Amino acid sequence: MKRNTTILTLVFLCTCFPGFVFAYHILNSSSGGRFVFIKWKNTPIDFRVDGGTLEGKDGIVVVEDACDEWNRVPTARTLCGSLTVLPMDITAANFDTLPLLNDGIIIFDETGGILSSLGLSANTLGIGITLSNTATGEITDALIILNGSIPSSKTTDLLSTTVHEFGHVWGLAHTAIGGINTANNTPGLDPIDPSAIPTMFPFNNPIDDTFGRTLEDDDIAGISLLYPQN
Amino acid sequence: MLSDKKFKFFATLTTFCIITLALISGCGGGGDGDGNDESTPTPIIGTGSIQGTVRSSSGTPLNAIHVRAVNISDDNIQLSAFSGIGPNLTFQNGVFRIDGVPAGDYRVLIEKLDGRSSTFEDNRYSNFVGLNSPLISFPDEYFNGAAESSLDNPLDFAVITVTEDQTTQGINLITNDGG
Repeated sequence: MKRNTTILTLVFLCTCFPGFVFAYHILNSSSGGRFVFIKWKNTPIDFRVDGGTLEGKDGIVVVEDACDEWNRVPTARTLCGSLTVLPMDITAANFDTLPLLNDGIIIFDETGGILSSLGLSANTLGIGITLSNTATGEITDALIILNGSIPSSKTTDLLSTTVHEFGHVWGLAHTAIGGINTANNTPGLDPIDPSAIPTMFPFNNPIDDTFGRTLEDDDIAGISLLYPQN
Repeated sequence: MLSDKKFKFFATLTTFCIITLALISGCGGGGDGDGNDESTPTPIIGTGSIQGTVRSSSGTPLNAIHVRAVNISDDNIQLSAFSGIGPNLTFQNGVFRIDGVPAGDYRVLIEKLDGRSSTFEDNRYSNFVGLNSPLISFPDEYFNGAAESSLDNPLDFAVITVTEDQTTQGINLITNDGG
């Protein structure tokens, strides 16, 4: 039997970059000339959660709230399953020893050291990583790293970041709705109100980043297309 | 190749927002045991779809054009897609399809992404546009119904009605590219 290879699909949420946009879109890969969209085969997905703190507090609350936001979509299947808190703090010294168990892992990078060790900017709010089978597109494992060294503020909201990264873990790419023409600093036709910018917009909301805590129509359409509720 | 035992991460990563291969997609075929035919995505119950094409003034199908639907009653209800991805998430030159659209009246517009920002995944969109699609310049514009042409007023629009569980088709846009 031909051995299937896996690919590492990396998605990032960056901050401090000008906004730009893009429609609900689904991560995909190419195999043998065919495109397959990347998604989990079986849902819900269980997660192992860092036993350490996040911004000095219990990070599981943020994770639970983010899970609930996605699980509330009535036209999509329940995606977020059980959350099991690990008995240790995940740090740059031990994060790459975590075994793959066909689930998701959520790491609280309290100092930003893990993200730094991956070569990412100190301004990275979080990342979502999936491992998937290139032939079938099936996601087999996922990792979310949340940067606890950037204090939550009106323009950098931790819960919004977490909801966003979960979107990547499910298989959603960035949305294009909500940006401006940065070359001319013009909003284009029908600019959307900042409060309605979809959560999967790739950049933090400069007006109020807490807007990203709530999914918008574009996010809901994307996740419902990927995991329709029967 | 990753270890079976643990995560190993690539040594070089950029700090830009990148997504690998977030372009066109197609179903992998077969089923996953859930009773759904993965080659045909299940319609999102309670919403409709908008489908059409984007072509240049010379009739050439255009890909990677951002197509956005804006609800007329509430212009903060917006959904979008890229041209080049048709029904069932398969690559089709110039075709676009927006699923999951709440029922109602919309106006549909097109806008380009290449050349719009220097900091957001330009290389990826350029590659997408390069797939069977010429690089052209055109103003953002609305779909203008029967009056749609390469010379119409970009700000004139036709009202598109989306009905639950139905696809509104024939939304065929022509760029005002000066050709």
